[in-house]
Amino acid sequence: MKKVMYKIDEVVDLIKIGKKLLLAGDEELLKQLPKGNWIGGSIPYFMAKDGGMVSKDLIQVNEIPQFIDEVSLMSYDIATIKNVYKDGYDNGFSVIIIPGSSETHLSFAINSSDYKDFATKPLIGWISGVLLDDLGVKSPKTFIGSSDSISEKNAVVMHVKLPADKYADIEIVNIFEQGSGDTIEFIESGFQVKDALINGQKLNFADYLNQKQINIKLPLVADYNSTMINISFQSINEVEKVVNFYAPVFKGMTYKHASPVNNYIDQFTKIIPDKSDQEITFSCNCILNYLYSELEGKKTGSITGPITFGEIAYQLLNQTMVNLEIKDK
Amino acid sequence: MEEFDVKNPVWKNLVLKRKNVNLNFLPGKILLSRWQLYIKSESSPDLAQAAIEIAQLYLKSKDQPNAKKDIMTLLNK
Repeated sequence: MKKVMYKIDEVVDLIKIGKKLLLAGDEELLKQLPKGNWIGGSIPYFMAKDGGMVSKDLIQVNEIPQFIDEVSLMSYDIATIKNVYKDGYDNGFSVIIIPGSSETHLSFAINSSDYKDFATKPLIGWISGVLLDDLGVKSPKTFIGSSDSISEKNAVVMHVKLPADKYADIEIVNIFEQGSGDTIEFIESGFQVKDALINGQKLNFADYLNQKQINIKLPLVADYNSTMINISFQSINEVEKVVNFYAPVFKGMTYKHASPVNNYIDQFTKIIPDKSDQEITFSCNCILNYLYSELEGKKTGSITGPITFGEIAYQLLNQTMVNLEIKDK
Repeated sequence: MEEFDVKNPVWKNLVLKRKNVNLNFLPGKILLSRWQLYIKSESSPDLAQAAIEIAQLYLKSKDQPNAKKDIMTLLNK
């Protein structure tokens, strides 16, 4: 199995010899790295060789394969993030990291499907975060090696050009399915809702969840032409009677509460692809999967990557794992 | 496989859910869902634009196995 967790000195060496790197680690470590062909995001949670782990001492490294000659590192703010698909290579893929809870994160989540060239060029990535004990104390960050800059607002992207005989294949691994319960639609798009149409009847959504005793560890699930897309619950505000999510719900989309999952690890290992870590160029998994399924010390097959505050496979996702493979045409 | 034509009515029928097939190509499924949501929410949606964008994505990706499978299903069914 390839090495993925590195000491800072080892990462410095990789940068100095010109490796093209996708990095994840504690902010204090990433701050110390020299300029080079890398982007990074703050996070101390990882899927590592021996299972889920927390580390503020090691950096997780994904190296872009050596046969790739051309990459472009770019930073996007709330005004320019709309160009993220358009700027990708015609034959390639792009890896994005966005600081958690930043205005760029929120804007991308809601508006990405309206951006030029949405879904026509492969985009994968994650939302950076912090140690959960540091929530509210530290802010999630992104880093771009080309200019040595750190941001709590801007997304960083590595656009990667592929040789003509190869293509990028993104996969969403999701253990959740739509349950057989009520049909739920929302009147407005957003991260926070007050009312919902439950089987067509307008109800306060917070009241509905409480009355039905809905388990909010299980997400809402939308069916995107047989690909299941989750929206995870963040909280129910009983006073203001609003419900908060980790990704936006969309007006007009039909959601259902997910079917219960008895044993996440069993379910997960049944559906993760039987592939070696050499085949997967990049992967990440959701912090909610890590927390709710107590993944610390448990293996998620041979797949490694950061455990994140949100995943991106063309658009923002929750409670899923995403994988990128480079394949021959 | 029929010659690829972005103006083939199959793309418009796909967007309008008049043609129901199990798609394999992930970006195709996501883009199609985006357009289907748009059509549901607009009183006079631009169906031609929706159909062309889906068709162009498949045309661009026709060398990829999952896109190829979908194109075979859509154009030969």
